[in-house]
Amino acid sequence: MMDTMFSSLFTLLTTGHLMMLMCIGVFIGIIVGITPGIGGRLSIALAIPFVFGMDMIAGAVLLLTMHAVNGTSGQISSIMFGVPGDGDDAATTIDGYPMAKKGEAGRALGASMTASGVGGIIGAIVFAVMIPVLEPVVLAFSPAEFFLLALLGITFIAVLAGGKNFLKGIIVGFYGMILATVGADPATGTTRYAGDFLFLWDGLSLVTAVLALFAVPEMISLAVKGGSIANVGDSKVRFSYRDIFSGVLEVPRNWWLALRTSIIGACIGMIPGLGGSAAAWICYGHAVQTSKTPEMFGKGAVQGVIAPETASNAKEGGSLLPTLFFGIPGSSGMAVLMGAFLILGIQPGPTLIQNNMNLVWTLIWALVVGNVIAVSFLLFVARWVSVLTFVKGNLIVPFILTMTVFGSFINEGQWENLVILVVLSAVGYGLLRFGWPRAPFVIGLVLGHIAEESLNKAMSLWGMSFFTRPLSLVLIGLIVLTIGYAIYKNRKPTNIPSETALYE
Amino acid sequence: MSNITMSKAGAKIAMTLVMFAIFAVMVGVASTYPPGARFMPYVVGIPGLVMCAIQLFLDIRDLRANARDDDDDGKSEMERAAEEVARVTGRKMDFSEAEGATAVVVEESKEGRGRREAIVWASFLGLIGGILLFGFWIAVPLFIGGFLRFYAGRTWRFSLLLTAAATAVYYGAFVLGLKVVLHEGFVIEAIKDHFGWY
Repeated sequence: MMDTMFSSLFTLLTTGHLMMLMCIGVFIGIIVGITPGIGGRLSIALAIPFVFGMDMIAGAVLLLTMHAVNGTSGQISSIMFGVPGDGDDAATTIDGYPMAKKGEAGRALGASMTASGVGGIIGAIVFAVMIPVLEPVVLAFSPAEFFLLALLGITFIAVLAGGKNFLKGIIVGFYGMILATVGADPATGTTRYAGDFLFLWDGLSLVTAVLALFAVPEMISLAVKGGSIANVGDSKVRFSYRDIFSGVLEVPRNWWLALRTSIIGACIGMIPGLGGSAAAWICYGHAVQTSKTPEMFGKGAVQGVIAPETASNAKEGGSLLPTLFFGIPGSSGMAVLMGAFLILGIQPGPTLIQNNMNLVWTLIWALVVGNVIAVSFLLFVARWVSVLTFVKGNLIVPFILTMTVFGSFINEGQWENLVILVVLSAVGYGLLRFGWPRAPFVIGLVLGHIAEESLNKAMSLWGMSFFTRPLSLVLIGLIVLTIGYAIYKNRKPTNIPSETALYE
Repeated sequence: MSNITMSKAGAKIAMTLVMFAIFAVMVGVASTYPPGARFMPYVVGIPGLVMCAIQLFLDIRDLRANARDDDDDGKSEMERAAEEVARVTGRKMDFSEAEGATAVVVEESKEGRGRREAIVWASFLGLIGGILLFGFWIAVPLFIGGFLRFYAGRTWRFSLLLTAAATAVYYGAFVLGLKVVLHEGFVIEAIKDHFGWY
């Protein structure tokens, strides 16, 4: 294992094109993180056509780096202008923005970016440490169990993304699964739902479907809503590199808190359904509880910036674990990322551990190196990139929409995909407009084929007794527990908004 | 119950009905396939239908109970955050310092939303139709320029500059970089065929 671990790092650092792709990923991730209207999921969806046909490792490194550094730049607008980029950054606003109002924006930014980087690195380390622990568990799964794992994945993500609308989430997941049956049936060769359309015989284009469900509806919604973040100017939002550096030093000064919240964040990331905002808020609460001066929180305590930032970035490493090893994405962003991984030919589950540990270690190192690059870069350019916060939504829309159309066309080179894009976009827009979560759709669509193959295999091997195998019973139990928990949670009033509310 | 709430609830029911119809059609079509081929569509589609029916029941119940979907309790985001952290830590929290951002989010009015929705959808359909008929290199610049000038309200100069820059980037990335052969458009292909230009 040590050999694979260090050879992966060596390969990553010495392969020119991998380092270049990582720098590109960091750059795009930072821009996407700070520009309003483009979320991490959307950026992954848009990048899929460009990684199509790329080498598995190169494509995965690019996408993961992009996704991982996304949150690192999101806090800039939270601190400088009190406008959180997404749900994960809301907790940072509580102390970050009062710090900026007191003229300590540089210190807050230095602390938050370093904390975010440290969190990302510790999250990757936690993932690495968990591999030997989880290896026997993952290997206990036979490919036949994938059907139930797919159902579990849909249930988890439906509860996460749907909140009180979790039933809608499960329906959308099943919608993805039924669309995955379009094309030739692997067992009988019968073409399903394809009619005389040859281009459908290989199934629906995953890239087109993902773009239609995520990119187009979000861009249309952004164009319809309009609006912008207007700069009214504030002399206090000025800082020097010396201020930033003093913030950087706050992280080693509060190392014990940073370490604890990073580990908590990574562990929360491992539990599918909890998400980044939960990690940030739980760790913020932890920082308040363990502080000797809790009355300072909410008024500009630097610990109130460090705790949520370490946690929300550390959860990326944690959520990669269920995504890669069990095929259950830890967050809705990971759901889209997993779809992209499957397109690249990365099959989550036991085969990954048995045959592709090299890739797993490369991804872990990509998280570490990507975070180091992102933090170093952001510490220098934060004051300039912050202007991107004020880009008007309507200016982004035509470019993203045309990129979406290019993306849908180029992955298979067929104009028919543009028609499919329109049809599925209409459904996607309906889902977005009426509060239906869309993340489970990706899981259903990408896991649909594997689930069908797995179900056929399991039924031919064990018949209906497949469902009474011990591991199957555990998975069925988990599905029932997840649904039960969602019902219980919905009956109990809570203030934490669902991801649907946060993102949509 | 106000008309707005009624129409919102009605639209939600319509979305559930759309999903129900999709599953119903797919299960119905699957019934014409041989047993092996229809197995998975049944495994997924029939529970999908049942869940849509339950959702429909929930939507109708909400409509009758005049339930509101948003959690608008009149509290600001920071007040709700303070309550949540207070619940976890057992301490009274005050996050009022974080209120009152230097940047203000300017929302466009909700009036005319339907009109804007129709315009954006028409633009998108125009883009796709334009690509199918006239190809990428005519439809894409027209869409970007038109959107920036007429929908985003930018000046001609700014719109043309950004359109030219974006087209150059796309050409560089897709044609020169990725060597992609893009769709030329049925009309353009027909013209080329007619005049023998290849």
